[in-house]
Amino acid sequence: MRGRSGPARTGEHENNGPAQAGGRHRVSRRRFLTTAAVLGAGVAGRGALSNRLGATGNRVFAITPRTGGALVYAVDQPITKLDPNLDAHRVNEIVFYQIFDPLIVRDKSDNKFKPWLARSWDVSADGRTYTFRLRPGVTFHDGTPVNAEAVKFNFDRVHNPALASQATPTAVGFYDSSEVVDPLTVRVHLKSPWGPFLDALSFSYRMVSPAGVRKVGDKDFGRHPVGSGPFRLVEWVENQQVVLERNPNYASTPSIFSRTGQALLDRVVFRMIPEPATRVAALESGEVHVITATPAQDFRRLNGDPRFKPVIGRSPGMGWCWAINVTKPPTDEVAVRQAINYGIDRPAIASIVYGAYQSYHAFEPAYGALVPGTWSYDKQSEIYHYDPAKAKDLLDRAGWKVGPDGIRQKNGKRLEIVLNSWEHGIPEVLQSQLRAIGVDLKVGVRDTSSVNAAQEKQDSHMSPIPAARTDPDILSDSFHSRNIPGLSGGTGDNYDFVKDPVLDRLLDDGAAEVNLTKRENLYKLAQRRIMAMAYLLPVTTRDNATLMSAKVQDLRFDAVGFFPWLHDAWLAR
Amino acid sequence: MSAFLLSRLLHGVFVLVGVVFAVSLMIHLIPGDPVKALEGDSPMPKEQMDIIRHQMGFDRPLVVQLADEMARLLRGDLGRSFRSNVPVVRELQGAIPSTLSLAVAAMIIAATAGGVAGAVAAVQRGRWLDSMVTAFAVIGVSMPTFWIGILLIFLLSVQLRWLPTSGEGGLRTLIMPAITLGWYPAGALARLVRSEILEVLQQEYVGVARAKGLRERTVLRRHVLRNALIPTLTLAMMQFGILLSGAVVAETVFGRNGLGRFLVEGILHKDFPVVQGAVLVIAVVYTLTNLATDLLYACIDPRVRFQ
Repeated sequence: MRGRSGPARTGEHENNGPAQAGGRHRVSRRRFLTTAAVLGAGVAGRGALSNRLGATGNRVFAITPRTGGALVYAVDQPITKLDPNLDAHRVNEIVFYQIFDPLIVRDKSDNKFKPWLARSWDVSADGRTYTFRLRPGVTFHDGTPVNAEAVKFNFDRVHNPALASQATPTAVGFYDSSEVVDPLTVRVHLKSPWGPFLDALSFSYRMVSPAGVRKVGDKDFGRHPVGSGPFRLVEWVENQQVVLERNPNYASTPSIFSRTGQALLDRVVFRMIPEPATRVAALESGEVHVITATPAQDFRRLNGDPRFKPVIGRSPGMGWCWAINVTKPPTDEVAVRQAINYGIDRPAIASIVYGAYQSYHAFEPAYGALVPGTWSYDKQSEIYHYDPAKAKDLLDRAGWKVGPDGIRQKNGKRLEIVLNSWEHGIPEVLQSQLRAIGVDLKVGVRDTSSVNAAQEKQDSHMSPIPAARTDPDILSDSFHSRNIPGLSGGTGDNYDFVKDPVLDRLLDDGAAEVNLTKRENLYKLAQRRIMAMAYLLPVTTRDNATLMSAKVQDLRFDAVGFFPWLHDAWLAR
Repeated sequence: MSAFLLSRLLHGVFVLVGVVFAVSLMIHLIPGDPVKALEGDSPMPKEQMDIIRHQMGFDRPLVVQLADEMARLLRGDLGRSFRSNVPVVRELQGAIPSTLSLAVAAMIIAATAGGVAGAVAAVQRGRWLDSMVTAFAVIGVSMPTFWIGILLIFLLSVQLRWLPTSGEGGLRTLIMPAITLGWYPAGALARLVRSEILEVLQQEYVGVARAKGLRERTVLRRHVLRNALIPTLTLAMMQFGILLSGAVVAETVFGRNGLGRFLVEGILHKDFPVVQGAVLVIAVVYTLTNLATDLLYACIDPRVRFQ
């Protein structure tokens, strides 16, 4: 009950606060019909969802957003460098997405690209030339203009081999050059067409200030970031916290934001708290407002508490799925791979392991190579609905007969499959479900690199390959034959060791196609091929489900599901 | 004395070079691709990995890489972290004071609580106070650091709201981590002090001192405690070294920017310069702590002479 104001008071305050920046923001009040998340128990737990849906609770109040306050956001890893040209680690991205803006943005409501720093853009018919017309009058935090020259500088910097950029996904191998057409028009030339380019533009190409880079040098810029985003850096305490403050000159909001003009929060403090139990304690004691990665048991425990509400970011790309090694017996047999897919009860797994998230549509059962909601998702590849009879039949016909211990055998060999993971939960349930169809699943839970290494050395049959991505090109990493680990010294992620010329063709064509309709179709065929051959065991989606203080309003995540748009967020009293 | 010091310091330099070389070799030999460790959220294309591998020099033979690293370290250049691009020296400048203040605070707690409890237990041997101290000591050495930390946070931060859960800055953020870290050495010291005092009490010279008619207090202070101090000091100094390098659990639970966490992050991400820098500091600390222990012996025990 602590620290919650009554509904009447809140409404009154919000309406007559002259100090608020109401005039500066063209605020649409209609949008801020929020449920009584801050005001009353009962509906509070659903706050985040109903915020977006309008008003569903039993008590509805119109609340005008409040300007001011410092939002404290706890992350789980050390923030290392804030340089979008050179880095793509999730914890850094969470912070630098507030400092640096991209040219375009993906609207997750319709999966289309919308303008941000670029007002409009064209793609040439051959898919090799992109022309961007920039929004006029935008400046970086240091006052220098966001112009064609600056955009060219950014593309060249990302693709300067001497800087060994770790930013992904970028057009490595495809980027040729950039050309300043006029102060606000820039043209980017690719060596050959690259389908995921627009997605990469909306994601990893974020504009840094050339003057800012020249001032401190390429290596140190990550500690002295200068962007054009809604927040700018004010303080960095190593391994402790990174403090941002509102950019008072911010005017370049994209249309997908709720309001224009500068952000509502005065400050955002990113605190680095690696231990999950401590992060949850910090949320409970009121020290922080938002925490990343709430453990499932704490989510369940605190979900009904009116002081907190869930934050859900649904994540596209590849969910919780396991690559199945197609070169190692017995999973080299398609019947075995299909039987595993038929033999697991995904809805049961989701409710056993991620029960607390189910009512928020997070960590839901998944049946395809991509998760539903990803652009180009193929509904038709959802073929493996739970059917133990079919699973048994497939194994029987492949010659795997039930042995004395209930495990199937063929030519004196038991049907043993080694599955590794870096998280408990799903593997144990899979083990018990697959036993019912006569498969002996050997489960190993270890750290990420050992799990990958075991699959690479052919010590295991199944290894997880989740990857949050908005572009279906992610499938190439896991299924294209050129990405088989160890192949010509490569370190690819094709842990299923699939070498399928049909699939390679589809993925290559998809990566080069710029016509969106054709491209979508190519990836649908690829998904169908992957599931028909059962190269993969999809289990659930893998989303961003965590908790925040009920005071936090209008906090939304981008299309990837993990990166907050703090421009719109505000703190109720 | 000065000859002894000089030879010990020289010896120490050899130890440092050996340790750093061995660790550098080991981190290179641990399986796993250091370039792959730099991969962020999205998979990195092979072309990009090749560019990074070449720029960082990982495509050269291991011998060349190691020679290069050793030459750099001998020049006094610790390099820059692969992940953050920040010079390792600057990162160490932040981590060392944090760990040092935590280790000193934990040691004060351990020495005070452990020393007093052990002495009281010995003098009160067989009484209820002795049993209590023994129980406390057993709990101290058997409870995992991690668990004590979480319990303290739950009690003092979430329930009572007296102290912040984590972070650094001032005494308030030092209390819980210091108790957490000092808990084990306090238990260990209490047990040792108790058994040492009991052993000394059996010695004939204690009987002689008593026979001389000295007061019990004087006997304890001048003859018993002083003699019981030598093994205790060895343990305490060893514990101090462990506290400096092994505080990683407490540092993680309380979100501190310490040396232990710095090292573990470096190992996990195969950040070679970070590992080398942290190991170098820890090796220096161990060498100096050992030397200081030897010097302290001479102050306490007049029989000890340097040669």
